[in-house]
Amino acid sequence: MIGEDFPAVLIAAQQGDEVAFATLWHDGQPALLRYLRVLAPDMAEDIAAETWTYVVRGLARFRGDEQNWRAWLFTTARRRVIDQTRQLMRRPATSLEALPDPALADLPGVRGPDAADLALENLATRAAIGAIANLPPMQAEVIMLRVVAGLDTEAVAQLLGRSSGAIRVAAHRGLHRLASMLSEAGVTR
Amino acid sequence: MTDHGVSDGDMPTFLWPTWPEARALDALLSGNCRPEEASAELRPVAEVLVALQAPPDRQEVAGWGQALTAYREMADRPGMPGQPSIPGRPRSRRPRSIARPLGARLAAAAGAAAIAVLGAGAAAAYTGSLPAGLQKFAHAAIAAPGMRGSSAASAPGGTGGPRAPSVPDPAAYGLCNAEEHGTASQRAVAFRNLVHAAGGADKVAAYCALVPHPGSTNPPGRRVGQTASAADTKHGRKPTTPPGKPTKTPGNGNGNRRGNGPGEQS
Repeated sequence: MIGEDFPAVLIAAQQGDEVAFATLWHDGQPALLRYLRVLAPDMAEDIAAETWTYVVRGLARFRGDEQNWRAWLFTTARRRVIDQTRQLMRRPATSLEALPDPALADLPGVRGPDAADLALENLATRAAIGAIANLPPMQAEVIMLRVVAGLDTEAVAQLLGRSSGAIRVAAHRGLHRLASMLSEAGVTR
Repeated sequence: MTDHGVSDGDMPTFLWPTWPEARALDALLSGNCRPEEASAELRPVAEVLVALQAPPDRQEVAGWGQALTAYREMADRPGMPGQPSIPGRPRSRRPRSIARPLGARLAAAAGAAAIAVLGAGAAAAYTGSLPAGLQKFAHAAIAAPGMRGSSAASAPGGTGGPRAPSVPDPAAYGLCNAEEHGTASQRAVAFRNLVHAAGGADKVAAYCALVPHPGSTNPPGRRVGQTASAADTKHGRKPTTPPGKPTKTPGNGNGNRRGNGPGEQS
């Protein structure tokens, strides 16, 4: 989260300030990628990049505070996931392994020449994302939106088109299930 | 996405957790409960939630060049629907001129931004994801300006490995600066990364004391544009050429070298 500087950073980014845009991106991208790795693990990077393209296009017209900004960022990402999933459904007999999407294939940098340099990763975070991804989809998504996107129950309810009661139940259920998964896996110390 | 989870319909069959437990779960979800404060049953869950919010790793900031390219393309587009209110405004990509009204606080944000802007190697050094040996090398490069010159000279075209050693000291300086003078959130981000870079919370001060001042010819705001043009090259994009920005050697990141060349340290 950017905090009290958010309004100034947003305005500067809307006016073309790359430092400000870097601040927005650096703050949002890791959370966005983690969320997408739960929703669409095979396409997370591509969809994150696509999301920023959409966000950049609408950036100058965006009005709102940091919660609104986060909600917009994640709503945009979610729509891209749904679009991509629909496209994949329409394409028959495509194995899930062979996922490179033609619409994204010509985006540069998706598999850049220095991908090898970027192989090192935060294993604890990856393991955590993997654990969440094992939950039923809605529970997993609600937990990611609450914890990683930093949205409150109301914002998540609006984003998912559910009641806040359902969001709270899904989150609690997800955490319960996570607790039993972890204790079954012997992670408990 | 929402079809396989909890539907509103099966809420009545769900046993609500007891009130204190529901409060504990809500505290976890809101980030108001550290693992050491969680009950024994919930501690592993709390640890997973903390890991979900860990500082970014290298892969997670690897898309910056692409995002910046998209941002620049949008800012350069004439008649961009989002910018009707400032028709006469030059769409400069020089952050300094635009950032000026925001003053020093935004300049401090460049420290945090630098993590995203830098080459992969430098970013990794700040996120602590390098193996110990490489980490030492990165720190040596940060402390030794001579490294930058030799690296810049040996990386023509800028398409090979990470260009990290040619740029890290202003970034480290920016981080230290942000940690010292930034707002609470900037300090938090900078500190987190500095802890990794320095090898411990108690070593941050000593680490920052060793980071050289980048000098007046290398203000942090300007570096973003310069480094980012190298990022364009990295991703195989032809850099766009805005009016007023000299790009005599397309895709070579030469602006970077001119401002930061061997032996020009002031």
